[in-house]
Amino acid sequence: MRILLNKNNDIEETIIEVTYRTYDRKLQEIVNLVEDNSHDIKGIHKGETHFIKTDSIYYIESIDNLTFLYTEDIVFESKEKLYVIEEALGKMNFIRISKSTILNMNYLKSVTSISNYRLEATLLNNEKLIINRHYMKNIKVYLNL
Amino acid sequence: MKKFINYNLDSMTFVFSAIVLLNAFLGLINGNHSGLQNEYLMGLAILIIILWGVSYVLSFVDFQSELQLHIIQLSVHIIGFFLIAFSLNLIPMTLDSIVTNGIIFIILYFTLDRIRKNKINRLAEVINKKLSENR
Repeated sequence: MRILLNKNNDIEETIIEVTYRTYDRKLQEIVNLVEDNSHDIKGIHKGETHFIKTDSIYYIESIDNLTFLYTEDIVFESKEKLYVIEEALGKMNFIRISKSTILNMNYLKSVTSISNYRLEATLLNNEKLIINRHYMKNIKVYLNL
Repeated sequence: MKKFINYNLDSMTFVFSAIVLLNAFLGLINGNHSGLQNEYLMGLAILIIILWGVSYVLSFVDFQSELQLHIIQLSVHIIGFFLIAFSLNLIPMTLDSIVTNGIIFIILYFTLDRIRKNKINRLAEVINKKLSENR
């Protein structure tokens, strides 16, 4: 990927124009960065409410009707239902990998096949999650496979 | 031959099922469902639909181990297969028929299982390659 920077004193606002062949993950990240698509999700840790940047969330999991947001070292509880958060995240880097888990694809390191026709995802912090066979198509779509 | 089966068996079973279902459906809308051949076709279509339904339901179950998966999946399928096949007169209710069809069913089951595993392995490789390219 090449970057061309042109200075133009005649324009009032900076214009970013991207010429691409395929709209891939890297490009989506650039668009997210420019549009500042990242927003905050309210999470509770040790009784205190925090606003967590979606960029810092590794994955979101629903256990027994409770929703948890996993960052690198802290787990926050959210009052929102998983599907509500999923809708709010919209076109960001999060995809559903099982009935109860949404993964931030920026933190996916690798996958391996395991029993029951499933995949095991290893995250950058070496945590492991299960990708259910019904949700593999989400990964394929995301990665343009 | 092994390679041919590995690459084509799942699509062959799908095509066979699709042809049976399509012909059964056409026979049904044409009101042409009596007669030995058509009844047999209808029976096969019912068998395929029920076994597909069973597979679909089982695919949502998270089995603890691979052994458990195969024991439950194979038992449910094979019992379902014989119950439907006998009640719809698709196969004769004799020991020979049970043994022959049972063996064919088990061989097909494990061959398809191996094909699916190979597919998932290949998918994992492709995903990992793409992830490393994007880093």
